[in-house]
Amino acid sequence: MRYLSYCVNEACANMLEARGLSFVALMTTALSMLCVGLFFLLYVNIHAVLQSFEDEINMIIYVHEGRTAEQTSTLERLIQSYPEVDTVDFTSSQEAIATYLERYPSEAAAVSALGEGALPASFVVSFASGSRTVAGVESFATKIEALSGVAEIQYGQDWIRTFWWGNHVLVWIGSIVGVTLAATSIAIVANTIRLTLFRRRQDIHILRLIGASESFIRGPFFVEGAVLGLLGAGMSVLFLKAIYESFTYSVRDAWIAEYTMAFLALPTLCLFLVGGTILGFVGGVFSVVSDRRTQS
Amino acid sequence: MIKLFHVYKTFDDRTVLDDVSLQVEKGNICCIVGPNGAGKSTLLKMMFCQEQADRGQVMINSQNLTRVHRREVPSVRRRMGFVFEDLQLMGRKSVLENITLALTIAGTSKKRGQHNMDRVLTTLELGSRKHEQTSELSAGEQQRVCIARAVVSDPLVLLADEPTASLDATLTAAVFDLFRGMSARGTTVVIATQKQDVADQFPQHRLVLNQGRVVNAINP
Repeated sequence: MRYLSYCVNEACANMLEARGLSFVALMTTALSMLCVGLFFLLYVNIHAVLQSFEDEINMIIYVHEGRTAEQTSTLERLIQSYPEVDTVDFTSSQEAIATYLERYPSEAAAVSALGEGALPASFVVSFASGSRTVAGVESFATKIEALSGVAEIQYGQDWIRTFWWGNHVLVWIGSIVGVTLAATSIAIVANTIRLTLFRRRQDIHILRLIGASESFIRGPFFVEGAVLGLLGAGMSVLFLKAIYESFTYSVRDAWIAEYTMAFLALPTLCLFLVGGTILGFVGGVFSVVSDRRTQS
Repeated sequence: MIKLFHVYKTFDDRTVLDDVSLQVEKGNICCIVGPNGAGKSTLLKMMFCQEQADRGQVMINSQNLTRVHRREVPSVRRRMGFVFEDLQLMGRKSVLENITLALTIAGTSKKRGQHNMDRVLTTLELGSRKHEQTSELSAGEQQRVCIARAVVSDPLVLLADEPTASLDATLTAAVFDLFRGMSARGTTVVIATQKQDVADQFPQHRLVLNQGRVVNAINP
């Protein structure tokens, strides 16, 4: 306990003594964590939107013209037998034309010119809860396409795929930027502490003379790194909240306001603070291990 | 107990210690006397693992320091107190912080540490200056802080290099009383000095050095 108090006191004294340098390290860590946080916030919200799309995902299966009622009924039973399927609704060619004309009455002449088969019969498939994913629906589509009597299937695959890839690209960019900036933070914290080690070399020499072990000597520098990381992460959370609030306020009347923008959950924020602390601690370890002055 | 067997040390072809032997029993006080360059400080530093003997053996409490691994040095030093000739104080820290650090490193319990601290600060008349930065103190006060730091954890061995160089007669007497008290409680004390009057305070054990050689010894 006494040692921990010594470490914290020493770390604070070191940071206060090198205010400018510590501030730079703090801000770098805060900005790095902020970038990671922004990407994460975007990911969480885009993922939520994607999730809501997936919940509403349906598939329209168009059947070939000229099939008998029995053939259509067999196909319906076959589709219904897949575990991914929740419900199957059949719409005949006549029903499809009637619905179309109800919506677009001015197109009546054009539809009658095309004859009875102007619009094909179709099945509207809704999916079981466990299969309402892009991957699940795509896999189901491959199976359905191979069935006899299926002319075409539609489930908005292009935009879903684009959205899904967009989300993945965001994760990758976020990860790359995050790792790069985290490495920058570690390097800056490590350099800050290395300079502290240089300033403290006489004190370190004295500590060795009075019997301090290497771990005793190194402790305050590890704590200094961890404190810098924790404070940096704390600042990044404040910045992130400010950006989130100002964004939600500025788009309150726009279309995007339909979707509820969520802030990071408390466990995620705690994880953020822990992450920042670990980042700083690693910086401290790097500086001490790489500095020969700390070797007896 | 301290035992030195036929110790030799040279620096750049200059012989600093030449066949020096010494034995100080537990709880005794020994003075190493000699002029500048006699090898007193080097001898103390060997007992403190700060210097290595070229030949011979240095034993402290049955531990052979000539064979101590670098990693074991801190634990050896934690059982000792050292009054450095050049003080080695942390200037930006207060008197209290310098002394408390020694207690923390030695692992002395809080209660015993507080008791020792009060006793030492009173004996060395540092109570009124305990919150001052050591860099702000006079040479004599700094020397007393160095002594306080060395004795506060009740070490098994106390090594003091010119411990009273900057002290007046009254404080010198107080320091020697402190050393005698520690010796009575079982601490082995070795004092290196060039002052004959200091050596005369402890006539039971004495080693006189000149240019690295033992020229006179009383119960060495």
